[in-house]
Amino acid sequence: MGLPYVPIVGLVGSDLMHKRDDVKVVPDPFHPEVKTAVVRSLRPDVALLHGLRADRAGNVDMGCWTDDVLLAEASRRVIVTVEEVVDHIDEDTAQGTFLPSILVNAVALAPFGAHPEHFPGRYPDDEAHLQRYVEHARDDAAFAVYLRETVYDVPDHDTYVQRHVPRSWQEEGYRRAAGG
Amino acid sequence: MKDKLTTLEAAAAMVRDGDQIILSGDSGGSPSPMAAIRRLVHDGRKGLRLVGVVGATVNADLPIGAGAVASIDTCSVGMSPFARTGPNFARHCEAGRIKALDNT
Repeated sequence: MGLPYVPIVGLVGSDLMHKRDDVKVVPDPFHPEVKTAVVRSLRPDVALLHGLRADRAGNVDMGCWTDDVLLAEASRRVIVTVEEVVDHIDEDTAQGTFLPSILVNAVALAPFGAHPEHFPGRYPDDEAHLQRYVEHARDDAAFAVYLRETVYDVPDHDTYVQRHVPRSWQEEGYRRAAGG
Repeated sequence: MKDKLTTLEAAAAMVRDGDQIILSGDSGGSPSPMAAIRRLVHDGRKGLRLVGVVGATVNADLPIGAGAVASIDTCSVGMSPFARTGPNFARHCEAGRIKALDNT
């Protein structure tokens, strides 16, 4: 939206502005006796998003209804990974929120790219994997083991999918890709 | 037409150490970009400043656990029903290893 800052109702009197340098209390320009909290606009360097389908021009069908267009508009660089790359995406054929190519800097293919989390309507949370994740995440040494298995010793995303995405999901994905 | 299709590796290389990164996932209704996040961690990105919309999940807890994150601006790092709060987030916060900014 290009706004330099946004007034927020209800924060005046909170300790938040003593802890954050992006929240300030200023006089309301129309009623100077009234104090208003304002927050600096967010201008992220990067929006990192995962969607359903993209074409080579960078048009994206997020595949579900999301607020991600706002994130893309606010950010300097927008990177979108997708489950599938297709010939053409436009607003009429998108199944979910449409992200036009003008907002997108790069798209990359990453099937099962949300794993171990879910993709709405496509695959669920990988509950066994997430259970293992939280067990490992409770201390540094155990999490180092998890990271070695799922990140550091994995050369690329295809290898990750082969090793960590449930086999039955992968077979379903192949059937879907083949139109079955 | 500009061809914007690239590899996951090349896309991840567009992220620099210290960047502020806003993530899909959680309350935004969309899936988390986990493959890209794993690539950033694999490539050794450091000092990332994450923003969760509105909350965050494993999408923040994993890079925090890998030591790739300097700060996170979010209302929560939830992992229901597997954990009440992201375990790495909680541990790194309590140890003062990341700065947590509450945007509730």
